[in-house]
Amino acid sequence: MIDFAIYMTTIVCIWAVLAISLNIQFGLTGLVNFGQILPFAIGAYSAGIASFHGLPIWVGVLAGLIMGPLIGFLVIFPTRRMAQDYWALASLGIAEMFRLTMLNFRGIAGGVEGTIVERLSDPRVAMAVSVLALVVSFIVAERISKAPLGRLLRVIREDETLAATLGRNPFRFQVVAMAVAWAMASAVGVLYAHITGFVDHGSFMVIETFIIWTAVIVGGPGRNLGVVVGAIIIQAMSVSTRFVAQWTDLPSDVVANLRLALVGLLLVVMIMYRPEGFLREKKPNYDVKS
Amino acid sequence: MTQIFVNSIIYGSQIAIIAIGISLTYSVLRFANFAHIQYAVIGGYATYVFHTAFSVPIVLATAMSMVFTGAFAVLIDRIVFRTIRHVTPEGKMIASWGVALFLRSILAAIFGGSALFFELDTTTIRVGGAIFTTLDVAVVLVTLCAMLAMHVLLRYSRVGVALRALANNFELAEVRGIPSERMILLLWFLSGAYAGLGGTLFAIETQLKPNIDLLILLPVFAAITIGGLGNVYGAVVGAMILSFAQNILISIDFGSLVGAMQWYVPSQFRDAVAVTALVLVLLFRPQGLLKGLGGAKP
Amino acid sequence: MAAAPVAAEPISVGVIANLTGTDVRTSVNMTRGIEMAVADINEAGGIDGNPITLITEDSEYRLQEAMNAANKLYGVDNVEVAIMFGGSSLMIPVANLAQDKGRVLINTSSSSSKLGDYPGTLFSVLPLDDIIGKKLGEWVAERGHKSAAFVVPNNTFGTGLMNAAADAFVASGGEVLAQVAYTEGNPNYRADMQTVANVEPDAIIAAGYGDDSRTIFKNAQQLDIAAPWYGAYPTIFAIDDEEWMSERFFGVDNGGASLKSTMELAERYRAEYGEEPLSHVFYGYDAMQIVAKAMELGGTSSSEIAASLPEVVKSYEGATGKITWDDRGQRIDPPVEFVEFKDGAFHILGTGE
Repeated sequence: MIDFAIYMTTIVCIWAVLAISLNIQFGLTGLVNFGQILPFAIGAYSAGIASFHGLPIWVGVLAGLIMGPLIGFLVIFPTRRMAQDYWALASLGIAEMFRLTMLNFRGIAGGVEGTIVERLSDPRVAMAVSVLALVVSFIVAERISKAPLGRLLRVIREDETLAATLGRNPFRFQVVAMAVAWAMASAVGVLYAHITGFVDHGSFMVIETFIIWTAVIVGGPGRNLGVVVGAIIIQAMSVSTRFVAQWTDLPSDVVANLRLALVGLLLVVMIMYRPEGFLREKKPNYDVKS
Repeated sequence: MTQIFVNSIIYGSQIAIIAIGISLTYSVLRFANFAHIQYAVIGGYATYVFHTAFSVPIVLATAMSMVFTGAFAVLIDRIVFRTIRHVTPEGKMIASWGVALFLRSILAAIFGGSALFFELDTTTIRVGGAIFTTLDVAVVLVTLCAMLAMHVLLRYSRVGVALRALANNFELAEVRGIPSERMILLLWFLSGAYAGLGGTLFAIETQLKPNIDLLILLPVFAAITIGGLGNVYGAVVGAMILSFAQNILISIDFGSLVGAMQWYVPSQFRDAVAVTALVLVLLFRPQGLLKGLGGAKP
Repeated sequence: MAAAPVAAEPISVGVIANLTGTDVRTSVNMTRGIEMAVADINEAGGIDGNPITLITEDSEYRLQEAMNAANKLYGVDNVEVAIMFGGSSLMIPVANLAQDKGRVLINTSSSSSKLGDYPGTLFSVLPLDDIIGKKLGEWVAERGHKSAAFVVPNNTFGTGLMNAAADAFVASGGEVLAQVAYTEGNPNYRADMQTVANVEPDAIIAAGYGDDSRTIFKNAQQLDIAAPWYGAYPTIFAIDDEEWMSERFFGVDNGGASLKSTMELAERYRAEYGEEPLSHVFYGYDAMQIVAKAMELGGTSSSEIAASLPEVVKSYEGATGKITWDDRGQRIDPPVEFVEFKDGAFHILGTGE
């Protein structure tokens, strides 16, 4: 039981960091990233590529920390001239491009076979590192949202023109937020690879992005503590339904499907009834011309 | 080469008929509905149930499924999308993802995750070097008719005029007295019915599985993006462009072209073609390839 | 020898399978095979009077969920042994976990050679790809085919098999014209099959299973590809048009399919579930049976099971034939059968070791 608690803490911390990272992008600056799994994948694959080519672990760690923000910069660059929902779709596509590249080119990191990575075999160490990653990410995110930068980001989110008239270049601040957010996600990607000991394209499908989104929406976008709670709720729900399944007599595949249905339902209900201000805040969008 | 043409037309038709529904709702409601592809899957299952459990002939079963799926899309709108009309497009997209996840899981809980098949008799036809089946012909013809019907409806009926007015300027159309909520219901019904038809055609040609939506998500979204989001005609053209691009790319013997031994682009790159097209168009020509080439919003 | 039971206390065995997501049918088949074995074992009095209960967990074919499932089974339910269905991308991380915890994992589906790195933890009832692949490649050449195209799923199973078979085929003088690795779960493989049609091979060498293989055959038929098919484990393929496939489909299968007991098992499956069993039923069945026998022989703790398993398989003639393990618990030298599909059933053309 204690082992299970240690494991769950590790996993929750990792997903919570991903949620905080998305929250910095969405909750603070209004960037709708449907490819949030990408920085995570970049981190994991940095570890995977290093391992696949026989490089020391620190190369993978360093590469992850650099490549995450760097690719993040490339991805955010086009938002300057794109409608938000277009960029959202593009970010989804870019994440898939990365995954398909990793899948189809065997020479990069094993292709379809994936690659084995050196493992943090002591679960306590893994938990300690994950908790540390969460604490650092949380503090950084809080600093950003409380600092003048955060206030400005909120202005940007509300009204880019207003921000610009204040003599600020909103895009520059979005870039900073993006770089920080992607560095976090990428860092836990490296960590995740070293915890599971395996990197494979299957962990970075489109569906994973929406699990992070569900955590952010459930926790309340804009609030760092909220999205951490959101991540805990989603992971707890995912795991606790396993126990429910055991107590009921329903066939296991039916319960498994109902569990996923519940996640979908939760996501929809939250957006409908408890958007916590942020989705509801924006003005009606019938007149939004793309 | 004729065979590549035939393959492209068949796959393009299958994608197109699903894609136009997304473009249709996008044109008025301004959000890309992820759940639409799941409506298509529901349509496939509905036809399957009507056809196998109640022994309804396939054509009638398909018609019934169109009505059912249309009504279903209206129902989902009443429950979910109407409540969040004021939410940003991105918020609606996320909600639609939740709807899709919910529906997919419920379908899987009811029907199981394994594939179901329609057992229809088909005959193989050869024309020139190309081989296809009577079913392929039916799929392409039905798609063609459905598109013509949509065209006539949008261009020449009062309903179509009203829908186009809403698409062009929602507030203005409302001020002019177009009953927007009733029109939105109709919009969902149409879009759902087309999804039902598209899903059925897809299922008859291939197989029926709850998670098919995830597999055709990218090609469908690539198609509507290439054609320009919200452009119903664009969706069809986009589907065809994509289908031809995918099929031609993997059919060219690049090896012989450079005088080496045979070498083809591996077929698993088809998905990559769709995704790359999606991203490139969004980045460099977000209005779609058709804008300025006579493509107009409905 | 067997530890005396205190009371009739159920013994839990874990099952990890992808009950949702892709490739559900094969996974459910395996789970049912396990359930059928449990029914048999419990009917015969269980393990020294203690019945076996299964705890089945879904992996969604996602690493994260497979890890959740394994951590729950080993960490909360405290199962000593789990039987798993899934590719190596899920199996290897779970094997790591089982090794850390000193538990046992039985692999019914993955045939990656990397799985040999967990001796005493992971045992496979499915033979390694290279063995069946090699036999297949050699056999196709032996039957006089000069060229071949490959059609396999783009996963470890498919590409592993393809590489082994291609090497053997080329070594026997054959020429490989095309290697198609298709994306699993697609509703349509017309374009993939077009690639095969373009190169006009003498034979098609295939790996695959379930719904995908059925769609592939269907598309091949639609494109009128006449070449004969040679499949690895032909019984796990789902056939679309039996008449068309008749005398067109050959393969190398694990021995055992022709055993009387296996046929009876298949008959029971048909009666119970109203569909044709895939051979995953038999892998699941064998996995559960050898676990139960190991528990009977040496006791129910994981170390006892791990110690007894290699002993048990020596005398076990299962639904998938005789099981021979190397010293790492990987199945080698499986009895193989060369089969032909004719008039709706597989007929054995020959056998080999």
